[in-house]
Formats: sequence, C-alpha cells, structure tokens
Amino acid sequence: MKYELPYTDETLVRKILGGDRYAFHLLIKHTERLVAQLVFKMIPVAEDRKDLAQEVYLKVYSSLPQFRFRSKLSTWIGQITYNACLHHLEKKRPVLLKAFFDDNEKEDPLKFVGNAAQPAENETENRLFAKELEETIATALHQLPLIQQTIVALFYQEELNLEEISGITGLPEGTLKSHLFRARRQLKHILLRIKKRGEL
Amino acid sequence: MNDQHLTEPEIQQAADNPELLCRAQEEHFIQCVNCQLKVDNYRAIAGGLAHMKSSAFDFDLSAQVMAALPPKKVPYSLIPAFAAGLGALLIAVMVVVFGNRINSFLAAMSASLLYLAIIPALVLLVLQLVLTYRDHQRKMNNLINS
Repeated sequence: MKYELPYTDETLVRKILGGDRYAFHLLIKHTERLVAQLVFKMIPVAEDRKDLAQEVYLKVYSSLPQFRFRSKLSTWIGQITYNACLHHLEKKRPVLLKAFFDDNEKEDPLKFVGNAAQPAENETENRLFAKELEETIATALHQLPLIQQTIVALFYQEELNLEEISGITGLPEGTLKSHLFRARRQLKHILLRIKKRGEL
Repeated sequence: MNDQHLTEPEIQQAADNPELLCRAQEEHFIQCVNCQLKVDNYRAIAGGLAHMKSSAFDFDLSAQVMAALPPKKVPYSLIPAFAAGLGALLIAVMVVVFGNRINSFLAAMSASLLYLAIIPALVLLVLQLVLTYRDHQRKMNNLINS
C-alpha cells in the first residue's frame, strides 16, 4: 500500500532543509516502495540492495538543496535510484549492467514452458482470467529482460505515466512504449503457453 | 462487417484506450469475438500486473537511513556577529571622540577604584573562557561518540 504524504513537495523540502528529521522520515516512507521496485528489479544480487537503498537516501538528503522542483520529488528520487543502480552495476557487476540493457528477447523466452514456438497470430487464443494470473504472472515477468521488468513494474505497479518513467530512466517515451509493447506481447505468449499446459 | 482483424499494436491500444480506435477498427472490434478475446487477455494481464505483490525491503529502511544521517548543523546566525561589530564600532568611536577625556579620567581615578573595575572584568573573562572550553569539549565528545 502506498504511503500518502500529508504535505506538498514544497512544504516537505522546506521542512527537511530546515532540519526537520521527521519530515525526512515521512519522505522515506512515501517513496521507499518506488525505490524498492527499482532496486529489486535492477539489482539481482540481494545482499547489494540494502546498502544501495541507504546510499540512495543519503544522496537524496545531501542533494536536496539542489532540487529545483522541475519534476515531482518522487520522480527525482526515482531518477537518483535508477542512476545509483546503474552506477553500482557498472562499478561492481559490469556483466549484469550489459544484461540489464540487453532487451533482445532471449533466444527462447518460452523454453521454460515447453514448446519454443510462439503462437501464430491467427492461432486461437484461450481466455486468461486476471484472478488465476495473480501467482503465475510473477514467474512470467521474470522471464522478461530486466529493463522491461523495470518499466512494467513502474507502469503497472507504481502507476507512473510514460513521462514520469522517462524522467526516471532518461529513456525517450517512444522507447518506453516499444518496451511495454514487447513486454506485454511476451507475457501474453508465456501465459498462454502455461495455460495450454494446464498449469493455470 | 469489416473483416480486417486488428493488428497486435491495435489490440494493445484497444486494451489500454478503446476510444483511440478509428471507426473502421471499432466496427470490426464490436463484432469480432476473436479480437475481443485478445483485448480481454491484455486487460487480464494488466489487471494481474497491477495486483501483483510489490517488491519491499525486509528491514526498516527509514530507521537505517535516519541513523546514518550526518549530525544536525546548528544554523549560523549573523545576529551575534552583527551585535559584536556594532559594539566594537561604538567603542572605537568613543575612543576617537572622547580619547583625551578618558585619559584624564583614568589618570584622576584612584588606584583602588581602578582595580575594582579591572578585577571583575578579568574574572568574568576567565569564567567565559572556562565555559567555552567545556562546551567545546562536550561537542567534541558527542561527535566522537556518534
């Protein structure tokens, strides 16, 4: 559940800059879900996440005087998190950094569900029900490239619009649309395969 | 009926914003069970994604960050500096204007009266120095302990 702030961004920033630490605590509570989404999707090594999340908020605290309200405060924090994750991958796990941006559909994204061939466009579709997808969809999501997992989480779970996601990731909206299109198509194919095998 | 099925991008668009379909596409969509099923599937996926459990930290991030924040800086106030400057200026003006009179006043003053003025001033100065030193020591200890 999202933690709603009782203040506007301006009031909150003014309070924090005035030395109100409780206001900073509120800011963390309000944005930690977004930070967690980004850190969990971008950093596959669990033990790196804790320090990175702390590092993000310390950076937010020290950089707050430079915040110019050109975007929402949460978008700015998302941007800091995204860049910190990229920097972390670049510094400590360059192989994973390459993997993060590798949005080529894996050589066989459907291999874990059996038959590799994707359904043809004219193949009859089964009906997918949202209720039965709840558990399976997380498994299917993990089969997508990391960049797509991140964008899908921001779009559907954090309910950010393309402009906000673009503000966080620095990717143009057209690129984001393309990622979302491919992610949804891929998810549908994976879920239909699972359904066909009777596991849904 | 328009028998041109919607393309994959159009299906996804219809799932997100059905009002963006053009008239011909809408006409087909209303009558085509297959296209409707595809759109429904995308809507089901979107619903499933939106209701998926969010990632969350399994520790108290706020407590961890708050403990790591640098100690609070005492805001620097210009008022004491301004008051001290103003006082120094007043003394300087008085020395320039009344310098000769002050000299003759001090010369006329008896020795015991002079000591009576100087000794309390010195005692106050020493006390102030001790207090300042103690305050400095306390702050340094706090800094080291934190």
